[in-house]
Amino acid sequence: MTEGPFPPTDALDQEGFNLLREGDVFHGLEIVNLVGRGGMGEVYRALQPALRRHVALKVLPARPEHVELHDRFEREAKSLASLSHPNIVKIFDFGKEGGICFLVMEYVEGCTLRRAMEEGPLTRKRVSSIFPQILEALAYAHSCGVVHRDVKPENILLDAEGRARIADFGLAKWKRPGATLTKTGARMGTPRYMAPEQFADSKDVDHRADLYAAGMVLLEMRQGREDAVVRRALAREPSLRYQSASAFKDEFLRRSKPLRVTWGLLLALVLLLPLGAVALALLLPRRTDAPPRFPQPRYRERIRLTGERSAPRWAVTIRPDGREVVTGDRASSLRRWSLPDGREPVPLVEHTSLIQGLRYGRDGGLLVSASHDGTAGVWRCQDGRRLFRTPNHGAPVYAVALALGDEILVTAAGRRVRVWKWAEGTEPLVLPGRGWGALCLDVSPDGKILASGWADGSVVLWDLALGVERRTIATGDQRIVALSYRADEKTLAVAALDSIRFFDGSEGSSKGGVGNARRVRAAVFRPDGAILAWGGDDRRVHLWDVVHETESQVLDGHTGPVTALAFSADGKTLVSASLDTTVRVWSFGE
Amino acid sequence: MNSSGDDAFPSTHWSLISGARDRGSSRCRESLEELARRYWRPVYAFVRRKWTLPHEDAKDVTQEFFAALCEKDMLDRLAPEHGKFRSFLMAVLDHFVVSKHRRESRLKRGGGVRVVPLDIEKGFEPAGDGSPEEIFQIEWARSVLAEALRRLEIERRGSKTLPAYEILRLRDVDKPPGEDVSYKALAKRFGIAETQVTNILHEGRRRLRELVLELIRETVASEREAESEMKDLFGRRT
Repeated sequence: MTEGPFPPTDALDQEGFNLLREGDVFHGLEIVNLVGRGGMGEVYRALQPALRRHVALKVLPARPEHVELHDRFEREAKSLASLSHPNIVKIFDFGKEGGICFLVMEYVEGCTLRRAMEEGPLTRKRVSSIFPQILEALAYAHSCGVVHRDVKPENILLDAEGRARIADFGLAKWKRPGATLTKTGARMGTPRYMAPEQFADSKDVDHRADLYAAGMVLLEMRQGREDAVVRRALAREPSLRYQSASAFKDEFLRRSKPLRVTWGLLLALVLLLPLGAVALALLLPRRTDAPPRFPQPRYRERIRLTGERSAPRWAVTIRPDGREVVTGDRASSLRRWSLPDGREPVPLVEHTSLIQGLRYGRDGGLLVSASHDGTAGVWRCQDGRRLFRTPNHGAPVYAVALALGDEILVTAAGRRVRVWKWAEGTEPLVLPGRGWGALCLDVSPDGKILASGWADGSVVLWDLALGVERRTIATGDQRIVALSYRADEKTLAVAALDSIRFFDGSEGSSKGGVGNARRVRAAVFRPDGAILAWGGDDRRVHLWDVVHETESQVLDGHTGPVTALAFSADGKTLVSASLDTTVRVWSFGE
Repeated sequence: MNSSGDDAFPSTHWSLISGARDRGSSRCRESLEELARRYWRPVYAFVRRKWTLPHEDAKDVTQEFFAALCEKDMLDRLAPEHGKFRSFLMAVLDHFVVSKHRRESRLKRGGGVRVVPLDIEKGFEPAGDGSPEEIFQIEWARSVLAEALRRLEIERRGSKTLPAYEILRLRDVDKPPGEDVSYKALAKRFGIAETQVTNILHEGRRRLRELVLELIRETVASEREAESEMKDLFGRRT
């Protein structure tokens, strides 16, 4: 699991048993090498030939003296199997074979947080990126009723992309605190992360012990620099600590935001200078805590669209006037709903596979659809008639867009982006591709620039009027899942699997991004450009205040991943589609 | 590509075909593995019955067939408007076995890319005395149903409030021998009302039918063909 062995911790390790050797085949896995020894035995890197992937294999000899250990091993492996979170190491298999208890887990290429800290002090940015992930994992585990009880830098793995994963979940708690105290070497220092109540009775601790440990980890990551956030996490009395990992995370994120220097603040500083340092000291902390100057309208859920058929929803769009919503799912029909009452008129059935791309034209007169059956269609909304259907692309069409006054249809499918003069029915213009997949599209508000997002993490900008490539942005991210132009035409939001960043929409230079976006599936600007809505696997819709660079609201309600989002032209209505089979309509005001 | 279809870009029949055409890429392998996972049973059963091959040989032919789908450009001829995927696959399979016979005096074991899931290791004896084509169709129907059930399980897994999939599984799919799965017994077991059990079963069966139809739609050219395929595969059973 790490490139260096875990430090010796207890009697088990001192026995130094080597259960497996390189090249051995165990439970269908080919042993590659020993990567560590920990509290629960040995960890090997192994190859799973059937799936051609590397896995981490944890083993422990099935000796009579380890009976208690095995029971815990088993019970905890089973509870772990129910945890699925991007920041928690996944478990694939568990059992006993040939006198060995084993656990097969996700193999993480990278190093432990401990190793990363040993290599040099972590930058503030790195701490701000890693630490919230740890808290997210803990929040999730706690919500599933699991308390780790051994959170420490050795149990946090960092991969090459900078994603943190918590390992050894619940596995190290087999040790009685007494034994830990007597047998643990100073370098390991597990007691260092233990909450005071854990020393008294480790069976009786709750999730707040993990938050104490996380506070200690944060203190180390910051090389001992203590602040209010850390102090509260390390309160002796559990009731004085953060009561949840998310509360800890929120406070951490709020406090780690750099002070934004604005004209107003500069002016205030200049005016207040004669009043001296005391006034300044009073002013500064307040400034960082101040809410956004313009209160944002709060969105509330208005209707839930489920209909008779309850299929997971993969696409959604809303007519610019906010009066009609269209959804797409695996059932291959376009389902139309009228707002605000949520009635469902007759669906338009034409595709033969999942519909993943949907867009309205500028004035809501046309609708375009993209399907895995390899075709895209242009529909007239008034009578539901299909005006154009592309030939088969030979690959699923993932995205569609209309451009240049709706005269041009753009499709993203397979290795190509195609531009169709759909009314003329002529052969499309085929734009050169990148890698295996064109995954998403957006057209600038003036209809002139086409942005395409690719499976290799690049974004290609095309000048549609001139028919030339403007620029390719290599984001360095994994595949691009969504693109959205801001109304100012200058900003393009680029959502990759685990990030959302802003780029100059014509020049391609980077302009910051959304803090803490993870497992993203959809992202779209509100037409006024003040808010970017995004959603993904965490089942929430996040509203990011672009001006103040802060999350202004989180919309809770969906019980499955959020797959698609769209705003009405006035920005008052937001629709979200989810695999929970619902489409929800959110709006503000009356 | 992700077999559960739980990704931002879900896996459908046509995304698998398009992936499998992407020769030499990791996506190609993943797509073939998923296609093989779904359809190895009809292919294996057809080969066993038509060519009276023993298990080991039928297993090898099945594995080589799925590998050849990608290597030999077979899938390039396939498009949604060309009709049923089932007919296409049986035709290319027949052709594949014949030309393989011609090429080799006897079947060579192993070799080539192996993409078929481990389930095939044990194989199975095709049931009944139907023709190879009938056996292929029966196993095809079974594979479609198995995939629909898998998707239903994924969908229902998210439901924390009601053990929806579990009830459907016990009652309709995987009834444990000797166990009482009457409405009353299930209601007691899960601590819900009997009417809730019947509602759950009704809703689950309805959704299962839809999922089967969705899967079929993806492998045929039109709505009319989907209806006839549904009738061919499941008759009155659905």
